Amino acid sequence: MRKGINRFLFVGLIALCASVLAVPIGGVTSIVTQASAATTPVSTLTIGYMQSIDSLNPYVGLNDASYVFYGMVYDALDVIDNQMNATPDLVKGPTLADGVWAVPNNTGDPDMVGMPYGSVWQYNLTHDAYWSDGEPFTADDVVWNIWLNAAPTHYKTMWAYQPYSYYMEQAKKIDDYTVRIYFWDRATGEPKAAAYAYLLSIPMLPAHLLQNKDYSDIGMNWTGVFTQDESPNMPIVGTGPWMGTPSLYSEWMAGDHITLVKNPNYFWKVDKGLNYTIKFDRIVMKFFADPTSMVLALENKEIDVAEFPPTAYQAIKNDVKDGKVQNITTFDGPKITQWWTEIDFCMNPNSGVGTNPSRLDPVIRQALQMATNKQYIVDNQYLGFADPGTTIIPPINSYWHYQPNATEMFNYNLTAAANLLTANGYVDIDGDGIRECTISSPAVERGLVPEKTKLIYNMEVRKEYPEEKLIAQYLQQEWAKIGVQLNIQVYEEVKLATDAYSYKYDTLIWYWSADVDPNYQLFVLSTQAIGGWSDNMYSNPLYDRNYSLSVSEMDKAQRRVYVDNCQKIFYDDSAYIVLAYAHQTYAWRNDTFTGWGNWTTDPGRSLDNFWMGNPIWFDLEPITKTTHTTSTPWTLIAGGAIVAAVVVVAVVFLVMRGRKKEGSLKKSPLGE
Amino acid sequence: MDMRSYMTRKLIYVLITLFAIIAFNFFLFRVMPGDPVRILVPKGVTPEVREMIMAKFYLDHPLWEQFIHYLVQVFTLDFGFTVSVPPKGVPITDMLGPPIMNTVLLLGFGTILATWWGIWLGRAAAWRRGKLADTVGMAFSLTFYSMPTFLFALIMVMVFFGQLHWFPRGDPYSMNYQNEDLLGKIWDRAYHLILPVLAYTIEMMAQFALIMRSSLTDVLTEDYIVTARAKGLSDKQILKTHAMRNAMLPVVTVTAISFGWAIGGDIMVEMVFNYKGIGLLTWDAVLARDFPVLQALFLIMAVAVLIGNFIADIVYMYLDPRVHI
Repeated sequence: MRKGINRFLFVGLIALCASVLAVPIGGVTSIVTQASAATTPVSTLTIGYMQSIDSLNPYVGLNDASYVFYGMVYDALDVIDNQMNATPDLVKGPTLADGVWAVPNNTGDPDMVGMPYGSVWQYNLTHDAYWSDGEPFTADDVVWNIWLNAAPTHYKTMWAYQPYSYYMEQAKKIDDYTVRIYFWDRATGEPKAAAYAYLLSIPMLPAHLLQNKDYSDIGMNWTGVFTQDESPNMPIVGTGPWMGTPSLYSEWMAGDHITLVKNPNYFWKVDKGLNYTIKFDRIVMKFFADPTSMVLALENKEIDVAEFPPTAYQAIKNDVKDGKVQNITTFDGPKITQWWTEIDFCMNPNSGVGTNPSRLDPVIRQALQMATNKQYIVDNQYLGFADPGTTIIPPINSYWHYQPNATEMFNYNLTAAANLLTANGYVDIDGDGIRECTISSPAVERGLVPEKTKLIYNMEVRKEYPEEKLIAQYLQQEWAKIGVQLNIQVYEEVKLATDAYSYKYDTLIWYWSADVDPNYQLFVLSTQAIGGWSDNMYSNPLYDRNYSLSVSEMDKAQRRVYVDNCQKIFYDDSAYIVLAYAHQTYAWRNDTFTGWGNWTTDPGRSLDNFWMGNPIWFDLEPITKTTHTTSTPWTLIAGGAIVAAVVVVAVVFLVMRGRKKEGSLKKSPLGE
Repeated sequence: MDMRSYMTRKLIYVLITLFAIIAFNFFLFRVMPGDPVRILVPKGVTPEVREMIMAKFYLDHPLWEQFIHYLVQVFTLDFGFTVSVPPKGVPITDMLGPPIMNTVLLLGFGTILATWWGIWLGRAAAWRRGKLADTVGMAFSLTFYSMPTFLFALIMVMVFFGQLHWFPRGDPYSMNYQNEDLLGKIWDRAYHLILPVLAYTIEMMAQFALIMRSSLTDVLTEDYIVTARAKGLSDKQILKTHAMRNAMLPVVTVTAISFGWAIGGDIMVEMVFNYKGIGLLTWDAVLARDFPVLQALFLIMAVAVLIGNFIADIVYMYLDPRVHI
């Protein structure tokens, strides 16, 4: 009996192995079969990401993948076009001036009595936009969204869009499709002009579904997804060109990918013309843990496009150049999100145990700026896919960028850096190669640290960006040459973010990206942003004054003077060392979709454009790629079964033949 | 000691250990540095919001009350919410489902196959000690035992996905998974499991083979084997009835612990195959300092190892009657 069972098990095992081996054969067969037997072809654009969406709630998410997602499902009042200019979205078009303007204060309008020009803006809304659950989008939605962000009781908790909402007082409904937003100085309560109000990249959320929720719940706890009771089969309700599927939440929880489907009634088709029709059915955001996997996925048509880390991108570029891979286009150029990487110095004197407040002395930061060879970092860690950094508004935003002149510039010079430290009393007393603070050091004089405190700092870097770890390692070597020791800590970005916004660190490498108006970037480094977007607690009254003037100055040329001043002051303070203006490094398949366009002449169509209303969605056209909504793998099973049967028969035959030959027992291993 | 007493005693030990683990797990994460509210909400924490969060997570109660509350939570499988690892702000119990399912499938199948093939290989090598089969078998085992997992896994991906296109690159399932019917889902998962399972199995089977060979080699030199031979038993009978039964004891221990650890995932295999399992989640949670998630993961892993050991004790009793004397 046991013998029978064993034989049965043996044949079963062989059948199992055979079935496993049959899978690839079945898989190939199924590809062929599905191509002809498909009933519901679906064209899908699959985008690869090295980050997961951290939250589906636009008031909680922090990383770029999350913002891309919000940009797909929600709309803002106005957005960025191909040429990086503001263009109507939920406001009426065709030009921005048709939908948004600062209300004049010399027309006798009773609303404007005593109000400075630029402190009240009018937004004429489109009549054609609908929420994905069918409700119309109206002025009530805008009023509620502004109230959510700007009401004095909410403002601090609703931190996500503070760069826009800090100077907002309230929104008033004029009629169902007209809204006025009033701006003020939140500190004094006085009306204040807001020159940036032509571009408010705040995603509009559905008031009719959210107005009964508590604001702190929306800002802190809400997952971003409506329950089945709140919104049947519609977990995300936006007005955007893409919509979530009923399985969105479970897909997000599983962490592998999420699927979005086309909004068939997207209003741009009516508002802006038939050119604004989306020509494919789905977008899949696919998340990877490892860049090699993402490269393989692109090469094998598993994804259509992705942005790669520099090393992986360079490898793809080389393979394309050498003809090792076909049908892939690569693109690198300045990032339109104005992304730059920087070394943050925490400006909080009470940064906690294990940190070194001597970094608050600007002399040390300036010396470290001089000991940082940005060109080397660009050439080696970014493999040339970046430009050396200087000020906080990058050159891609050429009108607003300020480039320090020769006398202002901290050029790479280790000798000058070492001399600066020595001249300020930071010397290596005990000869261990690390400088100590002495009685004459500003850090000791200001009471930041006691004498003999060594210049040793921690540096946090993100694990998601391997090049940043390499930069930290390089800095560790370079700064050691001027007697400063760096200890590197690698964390996931969310942990780094927690430390940054708690102001509990020495230094870290992080990044900023901002929209095309300088207000966003200047705000985050102002004193008003502390406790919100400020990640290093920088505070300088002179900077704040210039920033405030830049907000209220309605004359663009004069505004530029204040923006330049802010950049100059911040550069000199060296509270950040702007390392590099990183480039976007995308690769996409040109045999699955057409219509990628020219990202050099039309930079706004990059997938980096996460400010909602990305123009590329309306130009991409699928070539051949179709997947299927349902498929029963009977062909695979039949193929597998046939192969398994053949293998089982072959093995049984071989076993039987082997038994016949077992006439003479081989020599026993236990001896004769 | 009869079997019932033996089992009862073992079960009591398991419960005591479980309580110790739960207590340790609770206090370990309470002594970690850092402000829990800051971890939960990095920006914009007003005093009112802070109070609300402290109350929501029961952090405004004395430690002993928090511990009682934690015990209740554990026994109702309520592990709280994720705080920093994506997906953020969702119930951990809901969030753990998919990675546990993925890992159990991957490492469960992998461990079964590794045990089976490892024992078979070790037995064959020991039985043919000093011969070609032994040399080849041990060379195979040592090669894969010493090879870094990520390297071997990467080679498999390059060859079977990159070059031959036989299997998917990785992932627990395809992007069309949600739209498949039940049979389609099973097939989809099976297809995606093959490469990671093979990578894990080949790495793991080496250790089973080495232990099995060493154990069986020792047993085959025992006097009772000579006695059995003298009684006229066939080689097959000696191997199955006398040698293997004793040689299996150390393998059972390793197998039980491996099954326990299987729930903890394999970070390297999961990373290379982009397979969202418990290993990858643990790695992310450690880097993100998501203490509630780590607390839940540690508890699950500890309980799994406990159960594994408990099962090993029972199997021991079956294999070796001396155990319950």
